[in-house]
Amino acid sequence: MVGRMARNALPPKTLIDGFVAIMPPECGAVPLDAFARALWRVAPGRVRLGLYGICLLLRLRAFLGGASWGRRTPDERRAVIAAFGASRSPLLREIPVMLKALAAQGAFGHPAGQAAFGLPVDATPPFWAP
Amino acid sequence: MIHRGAQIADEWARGGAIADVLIVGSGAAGAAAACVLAEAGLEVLVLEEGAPLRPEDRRRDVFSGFAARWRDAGMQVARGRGFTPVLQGVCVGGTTVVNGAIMHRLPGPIHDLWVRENGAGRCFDAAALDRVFAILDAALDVAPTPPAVAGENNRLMAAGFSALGLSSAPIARNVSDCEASARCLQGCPTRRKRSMDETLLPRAFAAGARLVADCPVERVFARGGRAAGVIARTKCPDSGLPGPRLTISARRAVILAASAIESPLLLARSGLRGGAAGPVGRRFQGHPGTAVLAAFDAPVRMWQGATQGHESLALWDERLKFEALALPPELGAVRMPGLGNALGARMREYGHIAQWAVQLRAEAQGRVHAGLFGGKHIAYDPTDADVARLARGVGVLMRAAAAAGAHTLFPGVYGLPEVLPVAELPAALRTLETLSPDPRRYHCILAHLFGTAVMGEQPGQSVVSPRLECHALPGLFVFDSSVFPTNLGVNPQHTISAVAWRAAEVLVGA
Repeated sequence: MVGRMARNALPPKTLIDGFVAIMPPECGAVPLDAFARALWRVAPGRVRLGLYGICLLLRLRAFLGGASWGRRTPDERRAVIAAFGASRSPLLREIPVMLKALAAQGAFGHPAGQAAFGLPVDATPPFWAP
Repeated sequence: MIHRGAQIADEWARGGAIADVLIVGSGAAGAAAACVLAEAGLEVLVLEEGAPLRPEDRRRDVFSGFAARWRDAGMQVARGRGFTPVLQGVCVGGTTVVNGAIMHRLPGPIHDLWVRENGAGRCFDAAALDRVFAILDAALDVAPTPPAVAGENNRLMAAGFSALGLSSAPIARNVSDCEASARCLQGCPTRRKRSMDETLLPRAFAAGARLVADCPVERVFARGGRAAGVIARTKCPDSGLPGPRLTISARRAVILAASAIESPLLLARSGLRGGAAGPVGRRFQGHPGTAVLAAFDAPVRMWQGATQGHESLALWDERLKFEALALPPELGAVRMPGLGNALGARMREYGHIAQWAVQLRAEAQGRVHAGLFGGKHIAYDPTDADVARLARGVGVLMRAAAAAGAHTLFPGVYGLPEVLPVAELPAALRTLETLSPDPRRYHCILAHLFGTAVMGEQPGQSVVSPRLECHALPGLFVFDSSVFPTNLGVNPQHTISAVAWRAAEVLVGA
């Protein structure tokens, strides 16, 4: 049942907010939201469950830091994610790496994102094209 | 001819299907075996879990490329002290569609070891392998990367290694008229890579072989003490949902060529594990690797040039091999330091970044087995000695980049600065030598997988005989890199195809 839930659900808003916070503002939120949905369709169930776990950790850390994840600004969310990167735990250090690895595909695989950085542009990236 | 599983399911579910030889997997091993066996006049049926590449699949973005052609959309991992991505293609043509097109013959010292300890000389003597390598060189258009398509990333690596006094050379690749779009890892957008779907599979089809895509095999069944066929299950190409089960019989042989991850799992699902079946799923080996990025004043533009066009085997005796590795911005951004605006500032300089990698002939041995709740578990942990060698390799890459004129390095090693001005390199190299040998310090990936159904003459201590037939079930063969007793220290596609080609020749009595 858990697997079915993970298969059918949309990506957690926490994850999308995390992607937006990690990537440069020029990349824009819309392609990252579209990318997160596309990712959720193809990711294996255990990867989705792992990302749910990461989202819970992000929310917990934000809460312990004094405000809920949802009330934090992108700058504050970025700081929450960065704090994991400075952890002494190798496992927790992987969190921003994993999030960046996924988000970068959405941000820099998008024509607007690539154009903003003077990078080569692909005409028809399928995850966002109509 | 390629069928889609869903198309033939009804027809075969009614009447069943039969062929002389069933081959599970269409990558470097399966395609080579299909070619030899079909041209020898046998009725060959290849069963492939993945889908064929359509023209629209050859789009240029990483995400759709990985989602369509890499196992678990590129998110398959091995677990040890850390998590290591394990890269494998899953499509018609297998990993040959999405690799760096690097071609190496089996190194002599490794072959000698296999002959000495595993009886490989009975079928895979040096003369026979040399003959097969020459056939494959011609069929796959293997040639050194020409200077015109090398690109700056490869040229800088050559300069850096030359300045250190380490030999290096253009990589021999199976590419014809390369357009230097640096997109080998997503599947060549212009079909210039001579992967199996462009070469040996069409040749096998011309000789009468058939291939069913979207058709994962569940298990091998036996009759009268011999392998007699497989139970496969088609899947819907759009939804991926499973379709009807098919029973497909083999008159002469069933050949597993599904990779060092999938073949042992299939053997285990078929009741072949432990005891007389031998060490199925054990002695798993690979080539873990990591990379160093370097920033130069002049443009590098990794997206122009051969994805992997230059290499160094100067330290092969120390188990290290170095390669240039161009990554598109979608992947390279992972290794660029910073988040948000800081990451944006770094990415504006991405056109000036070069990346080179080190791959390690690791000592570590892991295990592949079925997971507790389905799926699979890949256990793999580089040894401390492996990690120490990896550190040595990273040090060489940093020194080479500095020698080539880089002004800033991005070592990607926890314990070193994320951003390292070249002036601080000597101190960083001293620190690197003192770091604890923990693989979690490095951004490793694991490619080139071996050894989960090793060949040997002793049943119980090996899974297949020196002619690659299972000790425990006659008529069942394993032709992929599972049978390799050790890792190679070089990229394995060419050796995998050569071993499968030669084993197929032996099977038909050539």
